[in-house]
Amino acid sequence: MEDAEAYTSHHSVKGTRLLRFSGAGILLLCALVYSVALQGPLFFDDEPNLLANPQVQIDGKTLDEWRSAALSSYASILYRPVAMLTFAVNHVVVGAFTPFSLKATNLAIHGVIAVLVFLLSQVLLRTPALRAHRLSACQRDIVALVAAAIWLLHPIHVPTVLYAVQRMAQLSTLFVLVGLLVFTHYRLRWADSGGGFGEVLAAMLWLVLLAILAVLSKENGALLPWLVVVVEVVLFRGAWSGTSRRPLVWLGWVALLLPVLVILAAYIVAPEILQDRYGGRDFTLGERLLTQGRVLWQYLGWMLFPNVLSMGFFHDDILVSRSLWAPFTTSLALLAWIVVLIATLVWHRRYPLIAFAILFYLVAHSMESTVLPLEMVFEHRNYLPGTGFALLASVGLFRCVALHERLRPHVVIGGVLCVLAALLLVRTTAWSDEVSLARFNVINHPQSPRANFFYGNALFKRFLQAEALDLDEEETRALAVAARGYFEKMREMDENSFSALVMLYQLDTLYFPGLGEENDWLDAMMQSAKVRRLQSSDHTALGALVDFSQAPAAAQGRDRVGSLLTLLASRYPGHIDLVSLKQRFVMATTPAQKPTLLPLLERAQQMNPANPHASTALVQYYGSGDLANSYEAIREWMRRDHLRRDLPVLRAMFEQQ
Amino acid sequence: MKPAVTSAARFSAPPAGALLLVALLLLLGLWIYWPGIQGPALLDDRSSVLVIDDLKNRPELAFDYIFGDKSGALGRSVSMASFVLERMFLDEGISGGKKINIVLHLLNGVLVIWLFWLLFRYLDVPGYRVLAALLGAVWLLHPLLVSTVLYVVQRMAMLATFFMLLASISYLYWRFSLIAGRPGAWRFLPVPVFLVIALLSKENAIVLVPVLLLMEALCLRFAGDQGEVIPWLRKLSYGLIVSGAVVLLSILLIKWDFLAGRFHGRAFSMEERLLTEARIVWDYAFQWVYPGVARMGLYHDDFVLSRNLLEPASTVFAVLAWILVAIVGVALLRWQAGRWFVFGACWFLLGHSVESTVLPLELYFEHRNYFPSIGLVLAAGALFAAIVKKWPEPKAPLLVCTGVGVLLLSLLTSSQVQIWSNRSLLLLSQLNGHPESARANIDMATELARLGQIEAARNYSKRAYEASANPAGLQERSGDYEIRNLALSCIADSGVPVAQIDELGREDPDRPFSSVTTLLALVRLLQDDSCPQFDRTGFADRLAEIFLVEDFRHKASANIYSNLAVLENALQRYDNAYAYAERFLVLSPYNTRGLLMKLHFATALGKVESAQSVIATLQDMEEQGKLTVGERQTLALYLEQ
Repeated sequence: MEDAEAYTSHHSVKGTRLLRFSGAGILLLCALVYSVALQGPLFFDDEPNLLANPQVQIDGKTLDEWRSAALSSYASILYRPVAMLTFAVNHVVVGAFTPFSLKATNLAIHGVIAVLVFLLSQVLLRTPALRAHRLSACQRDIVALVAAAIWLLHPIHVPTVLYAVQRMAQLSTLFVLVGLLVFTHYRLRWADSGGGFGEVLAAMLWLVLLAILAVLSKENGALLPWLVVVVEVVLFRGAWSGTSRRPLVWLGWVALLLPVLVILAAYIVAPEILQDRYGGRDFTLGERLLTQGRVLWQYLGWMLFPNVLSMGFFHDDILVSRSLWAPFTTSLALLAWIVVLIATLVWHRRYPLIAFAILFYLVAHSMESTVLPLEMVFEHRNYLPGTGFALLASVGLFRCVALHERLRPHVVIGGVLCVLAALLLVRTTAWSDEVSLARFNVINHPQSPRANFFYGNALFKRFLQAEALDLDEEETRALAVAARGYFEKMREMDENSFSALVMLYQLDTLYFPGLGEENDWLDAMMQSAKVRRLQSSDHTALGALVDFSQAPAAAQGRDRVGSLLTLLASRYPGHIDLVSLKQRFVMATTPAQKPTLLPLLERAQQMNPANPHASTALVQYYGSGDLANSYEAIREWMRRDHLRRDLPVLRAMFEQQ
Repeated sequence: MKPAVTSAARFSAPPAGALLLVALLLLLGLWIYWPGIQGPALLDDRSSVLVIDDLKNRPELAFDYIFGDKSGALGRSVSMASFVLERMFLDEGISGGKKINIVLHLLNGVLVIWLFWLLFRYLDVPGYRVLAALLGAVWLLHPLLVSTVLYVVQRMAMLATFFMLLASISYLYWRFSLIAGRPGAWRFLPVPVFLVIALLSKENAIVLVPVLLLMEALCLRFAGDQGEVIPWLRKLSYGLIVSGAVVLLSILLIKWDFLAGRFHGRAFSMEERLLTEARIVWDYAFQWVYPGVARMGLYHDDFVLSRNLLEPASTVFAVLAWILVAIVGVALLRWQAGRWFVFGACWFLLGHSVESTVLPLELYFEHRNYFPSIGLVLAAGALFAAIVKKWPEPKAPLLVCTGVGVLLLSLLTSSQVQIWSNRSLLLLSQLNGHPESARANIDMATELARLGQIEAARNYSKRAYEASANPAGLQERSGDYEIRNLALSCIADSGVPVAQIDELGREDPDRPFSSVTTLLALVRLLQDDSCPQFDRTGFADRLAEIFLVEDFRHKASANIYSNLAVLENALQRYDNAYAYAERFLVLSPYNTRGLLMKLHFATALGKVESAQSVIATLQDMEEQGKLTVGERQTLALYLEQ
C-alpha cells in the first residue's frame, strides 16, 4: 500500500513537473510566434486614446498625473481607467509609446489570461455537472492545459493582442475570469459541504470588487454576474451540501433569464431608448439584431475552423441583413440559433459542457453583439466568449483520442496545437508591419472600403518616406499611383466617405495636378457634406483636410474648404468637433474672420451643457488677449469638468502665465 | 469582562509588514501633498504668519510674536512658537510653512494609526494591524483635510491635534500598565502635560477630556489586572462625565443671555447659529463619508442660515436626525461593537462641541473637522469589528474594500491638492463651488484687477456686494463696496473719477464704512504708492470730511481711525494723522499701537506736551509689563530724542 502511495505520489510530482514544463513550453511558443509582430504598427483607436492623448503621456511624478491619465479616455462613459492606467505605466517606464512596449505588455497579459483559462478549466471540470466525465486529477490537468493552449494559440485573438487599445478587452476578460475562478472555488466547497453567511458575503464582496475592476477596464466586465449565473445554472444546478436545492435551481434560472426579460421589457415600454441611439449608423436596431444572428455563427465558425484567409482587421464588407430574407441566410441563422437554444435548454443536463459553452458564448457576446449601436463585426469580441469553446474543444479532443485507441494522444494534441501555431504565425507575420497588414486585409476583404483605404494610406505613407527608404523614382511613382488606385476603390464603394475624398484631393493637388481632378474631389466633398451622416472616420479625415488647407499648394481650394465646414456646421449645429475644426481652419487661414467664430462657439457651449471641451474652444478663442473672458471660459470649463480630468492641462496653462 | 489580549501582546512591537504598509502610506501622503507647497498665502496667513519680521536680525522680538497672539483665549503660544521658529531657521516664506504643515500632517497620520492600532488590538479586532493602517490612511488622505494642511495658519489646529493624540496614546499606555498590574501615577503624567501643550496650541483641545472619559467608559470599560473592573476609575470617570455635563448645562442656562449677547457683531443670533450648526455638522459628516470635492474649500459664507426650525425646512430634519442618532446611540450601548461605534460618533460630536455650538464664530470651516473626523473613522472601524467578529470570512475582502476606499480618497485629495497649489485654480474652483460666496467673488474681482481687467473686476465686486445680502450673510455697507472698488482700481492701476471719490460716504452717512480689512487693503496700496494714477490726496480729503467731525464716535470703529491715521501719515499730513490717532485712542483707550502713533505724530508736529504725556503713559504701561519688546524698543527711540 505504501509502495502504491509512493508510486502515485512520485508520478503526481512527475506529472506536475511535466505539466508545468508543457505549460511553459506553450507560453514560450506563443511568445515566439507573436514576437514577429511586436514592432508592428499603432493605428486607428491607438491614435486618439494613446498617441494623440497628451494626458496619458505622463512622466508620473505626481499622483494627479496618474489620476488624470486614468480618466483620459473618451472611449466610453466610464473612461476605462484601469486599462488607461496600464498604458500610463507603459509610458512612464519607456518614456514614450513604442509599439514594442505596448504590444509586449498585451502579450504578457494574454499569457496571464491563458493561465487563468487553465485554472478555471481545472475547477470547472470538478463541478457536479462535469464530474460525469470521470476525469482523474491528472486528466483534468491535461484537458485544462490543452484548453488554455487552444485559447492561447488561436489566431482569432491576434487583433486583440496586437492592437494596443484592445488591452481594454483583455483586462476586462482577465478580471471576469478571476471572478469566475473565485466563484467556482467557493461554489465547489458549498456544493459539497454548504457555506455560511460569512463565506457567501466574502464571495460576493470579491465578486463585486472584481466586477468593478472588469467594468473599469471595459464595460463588458458587467457581464461577470450573468456569467456566474451560467456557471451556476449549467454546472452546479443548485447543488448545496451534497444535494440539489430546488430554490437555488429556480433562482438560477430566473437570474439567467432576467436580463433578457428586462431588455425586452425596456424595448416594449420605451423602444426609443434603443432606437434613438442608431442615429449615427447606416443600419437600424432590427437590422443589427438580424445581422448579428449571422455574425455569431461566423465567429463560431472562425473559432472551430480558424480560416485565417477570411479573418481580418476590417469586416465592413459584411452584408447587412435588411430583413429575414435579405439575405436568406439571416432566417437560417436565426432559426439555427433558436434550435440550438431549445436543444441547450432541453439537453443541458445530458450535455452540460456543450450547454455551458453555448450559453457562455452567447452571454459573453450579449453586450457587443445585440442591441447596442456598435459596428457589426470585430474579431476581438471573441476574446472572452471563446474560453468556453476552448474547454469544449479540449474535452472533445480528449474524448476523441480516448475513443480511438490507434490515435496517440500527444501526437493528436500536439498536431492540433501545431496547426493553430502555424495559423497564428501566418497572421502575426501579416501584422508585423503596416503595409503587409493592409495588404493581407485587402486581399482577404477586397470589398471592404476600409481595407482599401487602409492599404492606400499605408502605400501613401511609404511614398512619403521614399527618400528615407531610398526608393528610385519609378518605385516612388508606382507607390503614389497604387495608393491613389486604392483610394479610388474606396470611393467607389462608399462614395460619400470623406476619408477617400480627402486623400484623393491631397494626392491630386500635390502629385497629380495634371489630372485636374482636385476640384472634382472638392465638389464631391461638398455633395457629401449635404447628405453624409458623419462618422468618426469622417472627423479624422476633415481634420486632415483642415491641416492640408494650410499648405501653400492648397491655397486655391481654401475658400471651398471654408464653405464645406460652414455647411457641415449648419447641418450639425453646436457640434463641438466641427466647430473646433472650423476654429482651427479660420485661425490658420483667415485670422481676420475670427469674430465670426464666437457665435458658433457660444452656441456649441450652450448646446453641450455638460461637455467641458465646448468651453476649451472658447478659452482658445479668447487667449491671452482677453483675459477676463478667458477666465470666464476657464471657469466654465472647470465647472463642467466634474471629474477634474483636465486639471493638469489647466494647471499647466496657469503656470505658463 | 476580561480583555481578550494578553498584556504581553499589548506591548509587543508591530510586525515588519505592518510597518512597511504604514511607511508606504506615509510616502503616498507625502507624494500627494508635496505639490501643495507651491500654493498661495491665504486669509489669516497674512495676519498671523507673514507678519512675523525677520527674526535673524532681531531675535529679541520672538517672544512678542509667541506670546502676542490674540486669536484665542490662551494665546496659542505653542503654535506661534512654531511659526517663529520656522521664520528663524527655515525662512522659506509660505512654502516653508506648507512644508511643515505637510510633515506635521504625516506625523499626525502616524499617531492616528498608532492610536487605532492600540485600540483595535486591545479590543481584539481581527486583522487589527492592517485595519489600523488602512483606517489611519483614510484619515490621512481624506480630501476634507486639505484645507487644513495647506492653510498654514491652521497649523494651530494641527498642533493641537498632534498633542491631543499624544495625550490619548499616553492615556492608553497608562491604562495598559494598569491592566498589566503595573500601576504608577507617573505613567499618567504625560497625559496632562500633552493636554496643556495642546491647549496652548489651540483652545479646542479641551474636548480631549470628555473624549478620554468616554474612551474609558465605552471601550476600556475600567478594566484592571485580570480583567476585573477598577472601582475608583469607574466612579471617577462616571463622576467626571456627569458632573461635567451638569456644570456645562448649568453655565449654558445661567449665562445664556451673556453668551447670546456676544453675537451682536454677527449676522446671526446664537439660536440661529445653533440651528444652523445642526445642519452644518451633518454636512461635515456627509462630506466625510461621500466627499464632494467641488464644494470643498475655504469659503462657505454662502451657507444658508437657519432662521428657525422650519426656515429652511432641512433644519427640522437635521435636528430630528440628531435626536434619532442619540436614541440609536443609547440603544447601541447594549452591544460591545455598538459601544465602540457610539464612542466614534461621540468623538466626532465632542470634537465639534467648541467651534460648532455657542461661540460667536463663523458658521462653517472645514478645518474644524481635523480632530473630530478621527471619530468617524473609529466608528467605521467599529462597524468592521462588528462584522468580522461575527463572520470572520469577509475580513480579507473588507480590508481590500477599505484599501480601495483609501485609493479613491487619495485620488480626490490629489486633485484637491493640485487645485490648492495654484492661486488662480483655487479661486476659480471656490467660485464654482460657491458662486454665492461674497468672499469668492471678491477674490475673483481682485484677480481680475491684478490682470488689469477692471470692468470685469467691478462686476465681480458687485456680485460680492449682492451676495452679501443672501440669507447667510450680513449685508455689506455700500461704503465698503465703494472702497473695495477703489482698491480694485488701484490694483488695476486704472484711474478713478473724482466724482467716485466725492460720492464716498453719501449713502448711510451715519456710519458709512465698517470693513476694517477693506479699508486697510486700500490704505496699504496707497501707502506703497502702488497706483500712481490714484488721487490719494483727494481721497484722504474726502475721508477727512467724513470722519474728522465732532460726532465721530458712531461714525466708525476704532480700527478705521487707526487705518486713516496710517493713510495720513503716508501723505505726511500729520495734523490729520494726529486727529485720527486721538479718535482711535478715545474709542480704544490705552491701546499701545494708538499711543505710539500719537507719539509719532505729536513729535512730528512738535507738540511737546502731548508727546510727554503719551511717553508718561507708555512708561507706566512698561513698568506694568504691558509693552512688548518691540514696543519698548520703539519707545526707547523717542526717549533718546
